[in-house]
Amino acid sequence: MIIRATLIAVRLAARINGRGVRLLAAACAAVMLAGSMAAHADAPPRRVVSMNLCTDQLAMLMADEGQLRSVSHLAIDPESSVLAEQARRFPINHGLAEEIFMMKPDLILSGTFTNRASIAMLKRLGFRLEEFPPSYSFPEIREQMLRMGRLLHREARAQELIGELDRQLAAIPEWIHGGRRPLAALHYANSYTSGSGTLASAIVERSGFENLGSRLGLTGMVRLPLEVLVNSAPDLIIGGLRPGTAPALAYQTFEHPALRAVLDGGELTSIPDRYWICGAPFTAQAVRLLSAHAPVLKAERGAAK
Amino acid sequence: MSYRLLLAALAVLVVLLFAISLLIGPAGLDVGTSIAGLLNGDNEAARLVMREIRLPRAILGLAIGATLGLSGAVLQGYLRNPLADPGVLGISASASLGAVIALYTGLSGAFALALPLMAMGGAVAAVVLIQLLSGTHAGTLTLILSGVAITSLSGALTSLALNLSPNPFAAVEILFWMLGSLADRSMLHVYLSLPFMLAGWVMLFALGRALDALTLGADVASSMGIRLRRTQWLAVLGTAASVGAATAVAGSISFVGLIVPHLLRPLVGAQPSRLLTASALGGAALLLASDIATRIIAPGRDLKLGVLTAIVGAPFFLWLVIKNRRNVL
Amino acid sequence: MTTLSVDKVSVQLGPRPALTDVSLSLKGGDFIGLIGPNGAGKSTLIKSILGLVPSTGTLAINGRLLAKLDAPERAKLLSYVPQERDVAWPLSVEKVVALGRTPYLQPMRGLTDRDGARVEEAMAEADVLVLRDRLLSELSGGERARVLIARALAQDTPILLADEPTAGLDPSHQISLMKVLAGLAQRGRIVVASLHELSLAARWCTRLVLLDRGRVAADGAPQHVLTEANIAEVYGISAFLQQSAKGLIVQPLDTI
Repeated sequence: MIIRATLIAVRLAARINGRGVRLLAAACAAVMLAGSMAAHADAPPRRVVSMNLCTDQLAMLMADEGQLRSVSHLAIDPESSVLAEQARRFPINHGLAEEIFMMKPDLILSGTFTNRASIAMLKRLGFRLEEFPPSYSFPEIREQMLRMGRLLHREARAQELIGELDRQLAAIPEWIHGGRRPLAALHYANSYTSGSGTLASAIVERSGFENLGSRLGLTGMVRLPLEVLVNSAPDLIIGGLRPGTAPALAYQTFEHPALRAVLDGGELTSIPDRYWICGAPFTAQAVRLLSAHAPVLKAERGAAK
Repeated sequence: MSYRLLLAALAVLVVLLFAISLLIGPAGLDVGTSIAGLLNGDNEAARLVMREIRLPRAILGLAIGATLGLSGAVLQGYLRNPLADPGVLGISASASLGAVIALYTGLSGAFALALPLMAMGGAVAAVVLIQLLSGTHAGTLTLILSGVAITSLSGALTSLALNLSPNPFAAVEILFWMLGSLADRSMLHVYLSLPFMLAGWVMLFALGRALDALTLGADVASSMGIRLRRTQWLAVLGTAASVGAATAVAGSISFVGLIVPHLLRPLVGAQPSRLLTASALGGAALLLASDIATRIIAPGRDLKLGVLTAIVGAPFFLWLVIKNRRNVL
Repeated sequence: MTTLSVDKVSVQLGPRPALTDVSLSLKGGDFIGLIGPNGAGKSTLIKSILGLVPSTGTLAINGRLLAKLDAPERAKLLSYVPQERDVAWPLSVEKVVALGRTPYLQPMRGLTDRDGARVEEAMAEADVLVLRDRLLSELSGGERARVLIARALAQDTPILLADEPTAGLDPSHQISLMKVLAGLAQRGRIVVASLHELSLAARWCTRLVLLDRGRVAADGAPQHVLTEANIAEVYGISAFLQQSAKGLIVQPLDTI
């Protein structure tokens, strides 16, 4: 239960956007820049502990043998983590100050939304702590990866991974056909959706779709009333944020006859959450999976005409 | 005002509010598109919005409001107490508990009727408990205390059931079950609840004459040929069926059943049988109006219905308690 | 002529017997006063005749067993005036009286012209016509008592049972009420009233039934029931008794 709730918090955080968050992120980045400059001159960190699903995955991808000492418990959850298998090799932490203190890290990686109390405590204890804001766009993903590379003294590996991301994205053709792009609606539990300035929106748009939330002028993760969604007649509805299978009212709209009618007998398009919770090289995978639906839609529309 | 005129006026009000309810929503359809969407299906999106989203919402608003108004009037008449109401007596809360158990254990996923049936089971349990605790000549104090006890217990068990759910969203959904909402209900909810509500109404409307006779007490009513046992069964089952089904799809909505009979009682010469139809219409009007208000005050935020009904209803309840203080103590 | 026969009726309320083998034979024109100390079984006898408490023995009206009648049929034979005069809702006098027509109403129908006429007659008989538009809750105890009798009259039954109809009323209201009840008996009904005021009972009733701990201690004309010996035996008091032109005068004096 607690694990699930935390998971949700992390997932929500990953998709939330707002000016406040942006400012905070900028401020953190400035502070971190100063920190990382100092770190740059030093020897590479040897006892790195990560407390956040996204830093867990970036660190696992980049860290040198023996450099990463612990990842968070979410990293081993195959629903949220792409590298769940790999994460099992590391000791697990639950983001608690005490357990992290006992690991005597020389670098702690966390997200800006990670347990604030623990982070404040660890800072007071004098640990070197680097906070990563969520990525809201592809350029931000590249920045985060570069920063992680610098912190771990693995710049070359970071460049390599960025190259891989760019290659994968390049392999997915941009939607260049004239006229209207197919319209995709993101539909999460409790009728939430992602508007512009979110990673989800960036993924949807890079996959060749127009994001309904952005079209309606929504920003960040906000409620999109079902009747607005239905009235917009999207070509594709992407269902997401559906942790666990236990029933709850939060998913009732997933079965609503009006939504089903828009789907016209089809199903909600589902891209595994793990590909777009965190901005990382595998975010390209979300784009690839999603873009596969675009030509199908185009063909269907052609047939309908 | 004559009785017929009153009913006609209330009916017109209900029709008007029903229409407004159909015309209001975040999609911002204009009146022409809305009516066209409701009547013919040329505009696919408008048709879906009108027929599959707004129509069930308006139907449920009407039917659930009527259920609450009617059952409030019946409970007040049957218990001869102006403070009786499905919410105050804990019937809604225990119906919620039944619905929560059906929904979050996955029972209703396997067998859809489990949702209204379990809610009705909860409602029956509450009515029977109230009867055991306070009898038909319930003193106001006993009645309210019974209601408080049942509401607290059901609320606690509902909370427990939701917290035990492995689904992280379940815990915050206690808001829905305690305050009620009609947002994004569908025709499936109408099909699931309306037949039970209708059956409950038939039972409750059959009580008019018995409630009139009960004005003079159970003994006199019995001496006038009223079958008390039958009256009790109709009141219990009618309330449980209609309130249970209503709660199963919209959560528990308080105070409608309390306010409406009170406002209308002077207008029908205090006669319990005449209060039934009037309260059903009045309840429908009040709930439709509240639901419209939730959409106007906070569009797109899913403001819970119970928030509005309680803001109006709770002070009203206090006023009634003060007015009836003599009888309470 | 209407007859009501009560044969060996016993009632058990909880562990103690409330009535034991009560037998009475009543006929139209009788105005029976049920007297006896508190707890003697007066109210219980009235309720057992109405079928409001379970009893053993036989109750019959005009030879028909009451146990075999369903509730509406019974309601056309027996009407009841309770001791409590509260109503739950502020109904008008006319509406309260009209409730008496309940056993005669057709399903889904309101009052017929005939029902309306009976309501008028009942209000006239109980002398409450002037009160018709007043709310029952606003009336004095004496006025309310008469309205409740009018309600019972509207039920149009040959037998009327009243539980302490004079309790809590001033002498003037007590007398006007007893007059109303006596008039009903004179016009052929059986009227049964439980009473505590022995002089009122002696003055207006045609027959008294003295109950003592659930049994009939004496039954007959007032002067035969209200004797010094009976009063001393059942009530445990001494009393001054004098026969006057207006009937027997009973003045309780002291406990023995």
